[in-house]
Amino acid sequence: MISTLLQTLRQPKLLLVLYGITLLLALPTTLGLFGAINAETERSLAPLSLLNGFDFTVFTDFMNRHSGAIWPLVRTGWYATLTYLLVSVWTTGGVLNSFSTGFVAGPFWQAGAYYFGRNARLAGVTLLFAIPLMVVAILVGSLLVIAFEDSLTEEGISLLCIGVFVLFLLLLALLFCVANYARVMLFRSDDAVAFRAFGVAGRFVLANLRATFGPYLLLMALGAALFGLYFLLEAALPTRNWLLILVLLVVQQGFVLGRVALKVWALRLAFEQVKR
Amino acid sequence: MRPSLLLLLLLTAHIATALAPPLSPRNANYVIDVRLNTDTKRLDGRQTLTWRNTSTDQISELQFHMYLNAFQDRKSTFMRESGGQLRGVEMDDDKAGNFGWTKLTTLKDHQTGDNLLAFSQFIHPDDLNTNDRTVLRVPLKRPLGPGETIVLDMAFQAKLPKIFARTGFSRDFFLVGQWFPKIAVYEPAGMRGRTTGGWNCHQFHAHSEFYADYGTYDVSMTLPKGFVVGASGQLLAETANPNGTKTLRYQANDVIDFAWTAAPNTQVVKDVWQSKSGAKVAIYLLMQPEHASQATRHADAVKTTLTYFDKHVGTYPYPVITVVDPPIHASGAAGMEYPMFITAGTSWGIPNGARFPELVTVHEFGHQYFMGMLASNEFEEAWLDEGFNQYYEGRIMDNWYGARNSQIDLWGFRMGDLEASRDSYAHLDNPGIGPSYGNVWQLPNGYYGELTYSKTATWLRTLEGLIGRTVMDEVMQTYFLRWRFRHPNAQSFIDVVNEIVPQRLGTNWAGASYGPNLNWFFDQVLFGDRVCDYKLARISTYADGTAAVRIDRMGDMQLPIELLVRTENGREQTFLWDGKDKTHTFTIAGKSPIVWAHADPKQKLYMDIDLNNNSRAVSPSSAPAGKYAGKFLFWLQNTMQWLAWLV
Repeated sequence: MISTLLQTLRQPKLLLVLYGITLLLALPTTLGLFGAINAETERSLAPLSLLNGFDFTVFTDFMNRHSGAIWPLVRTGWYATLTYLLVSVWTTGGVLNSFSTGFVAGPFWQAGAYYFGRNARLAGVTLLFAIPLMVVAILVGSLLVIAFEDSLTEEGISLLCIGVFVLFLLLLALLFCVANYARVMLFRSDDAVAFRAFGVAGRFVLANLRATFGPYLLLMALGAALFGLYFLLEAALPTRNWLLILVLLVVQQGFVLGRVALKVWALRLAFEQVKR
Repeated sequence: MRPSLLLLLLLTAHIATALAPPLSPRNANYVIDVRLNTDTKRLDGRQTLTWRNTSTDQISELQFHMYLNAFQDRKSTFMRESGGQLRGVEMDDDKAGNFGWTKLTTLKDHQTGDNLLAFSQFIHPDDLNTNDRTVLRVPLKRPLGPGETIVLDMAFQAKLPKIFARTGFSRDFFLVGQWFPKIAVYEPAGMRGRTTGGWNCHQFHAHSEFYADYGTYDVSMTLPKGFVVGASGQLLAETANPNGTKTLRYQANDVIDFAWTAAPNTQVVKDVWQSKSGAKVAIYLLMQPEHASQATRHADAVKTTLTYFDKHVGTYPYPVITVVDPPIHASGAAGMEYPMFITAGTSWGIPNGARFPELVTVHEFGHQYFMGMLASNEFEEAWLDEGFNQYYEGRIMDNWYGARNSQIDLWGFRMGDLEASRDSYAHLDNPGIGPSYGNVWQLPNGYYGELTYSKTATWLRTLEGLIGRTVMDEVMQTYFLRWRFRHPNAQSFIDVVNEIVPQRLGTNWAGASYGPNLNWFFDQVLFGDRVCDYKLARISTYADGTAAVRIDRMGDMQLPIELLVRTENGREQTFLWDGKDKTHTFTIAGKSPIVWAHADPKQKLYMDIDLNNNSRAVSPSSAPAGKYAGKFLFWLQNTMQWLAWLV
């Protein structure tokens, strides 16, 4: 695992390009929001109390009067996210190509274009499994609650729901892990049939569960731990003035870069595993 | 505990209760003997009611609340108004056994033996709904003169509904409220603004249920011995019966109602609170076993509330308070108030930062004062109990945990209690939708909670802002001392305010410009539907060094308001405006330029629906926008990354 991490970190240009795409897509909406908040607060002193923690009254008074200026920007943010999803389908081919040939801008984008169709179909296949999985989890959870609500205590019901949710998350993670391997297989075998690749990857992952799903789960856990660390840092960093806000901004962007690296690392792990 | 010691304690309690001087008129006294069949969910009871005519009128009929009939079908007034749900808990009407009802089987004049039941009839004073059977009119064969007492021998049967609204059963949990035939309040001319004497007996409505006279309750309950019981008042005796049942006898004096609970799976936690004067109040917590770890949170809430009320309002005179924690399947019974007996509400695993168990306990305990001891009419003036209580819930919670985080302090999100009340009112789609005052069932549909709880709490906080906390406390203490164990109304409170405030503040406060009393305030906030919104509209600086600060009155409410202006040399000046005109411009002399101006800087006018527009800086900081834009950027990028795992 460590070697794949080092391999990932040895391609800083690749990581920076991927990070740059998120920044590029998110920045216009963010700047719009910055301008909107400044304009809508109408030179008020009240927002200053938001600097040192959260102020419910200031926030709700603001949203009550000015949400019309904020929600369209939040919606735009959502469209930017969907755009990023499409761009990610594009960049996946480029990332995989970089693992083989190293990162060069031209081939990176060319490979993205070449593999876009099959990766898009693979995303569709992943969704095709993920959505029914979610429906089944909700259905099973509800049926279990109905079946046991008279015999279990409130604590028992809560634990049952948590159990179903954890199981759902594990299965979802397994699904995403399989999709990751399918991407590598589509790339390596130059196959265009997403369903077939998904099946092959599924069998491969299940046959090598410890070597494939184990590290994948570890990366997920690492991602969660990064969030825990971020929340601790955010709580410890008072944002009383511009300087401290900029410090927090740097920390935040560091974490985003970390998450980008984590995603590339997961793909690199699958790439090396399949190669072996 | 040894039986002999228990006996001694019960005997001591009984003697102490019997010898205690009456705190109230005690004109409606009950002795009730009831049996609960836990299988059929039915009650069989006998009661002797001793009722005294405290008016100067000849009374020719009596009126009774038969409130369990609100649950007999979907045609009752309660069901029509509530739609068969309360606070999101819906009635399960699939089974006939889930409905409830009550009926009198015997009603006799004890002295004459006259059967009064034959001539009784259900009436519908509020809405002419002939399907509603919650108010019973009983003509008397002999009129009852002033000061005369009638003793009634009554027998009743009742079927408890499945709990979705306050009372009933859920599996083997029972919350028995509004369960016995309860006499209404006879109001003579002059009482609460009445011009002629008459009964005040309202049907059971979706949002109100309390208005009754004070009395003593001697209640014996017989039920299977495996059930743990809690009730209004003190336990006097517990007797095991040979048939596997037990009988518990409770006594509650100087109260307006009596409720009780029974359930086999209950963990009883005992605690005690002692006032500075040494008076002790026993605290009984009837917890669900899975919530046992939260018992301390509930006990702390009760003790904190007792201490606060004792210091700021008046003494809690009762010897006990029982807090019931209903199971999740009986959540419709949560958050209710009865004399010396309240239901709280929590759930398993609720974190300490989500202070809902505390706030529900604080709120329901507060009703011991507002409605319990100050027995206002909840049907006609719900704001007098719910609104006042909401205000004190806010004060107590904010004092306990802090004004900015007393309700929730979790993962960086913070919300205070009073500010939550203000949010609920100030951010209504139309804050001017109606007054707090008025019959509850006639308030604008869907705005009951906002107008009675939230708006009242917010204008009480505004009153506190205008007259100051010290005078506010004196007002409340006087109101409490003057009206405890009586039936106050709006005018009772207004009279106290109009008496105390001019005495203490004279002409030395901003509101004095409105006149010698505060009727102008109540006309707007209580009886009216005006909206308060002042805005600091402009700061102008002129070439000669003078400056002008303009405040606009955006709403139609007129309240006196302060302006604080800060100049570059650090000097701060306060100005006053009566707030009546649509706009007012202050001319400020001086060579140092203005840095900012703030209308109502201490948020005295808490009703102002937009506190953000009260201030204005000449060169505002964009740092708050930077902070939130940064957070937005971070979470947007993270959302992108989360979704990217899909592809």
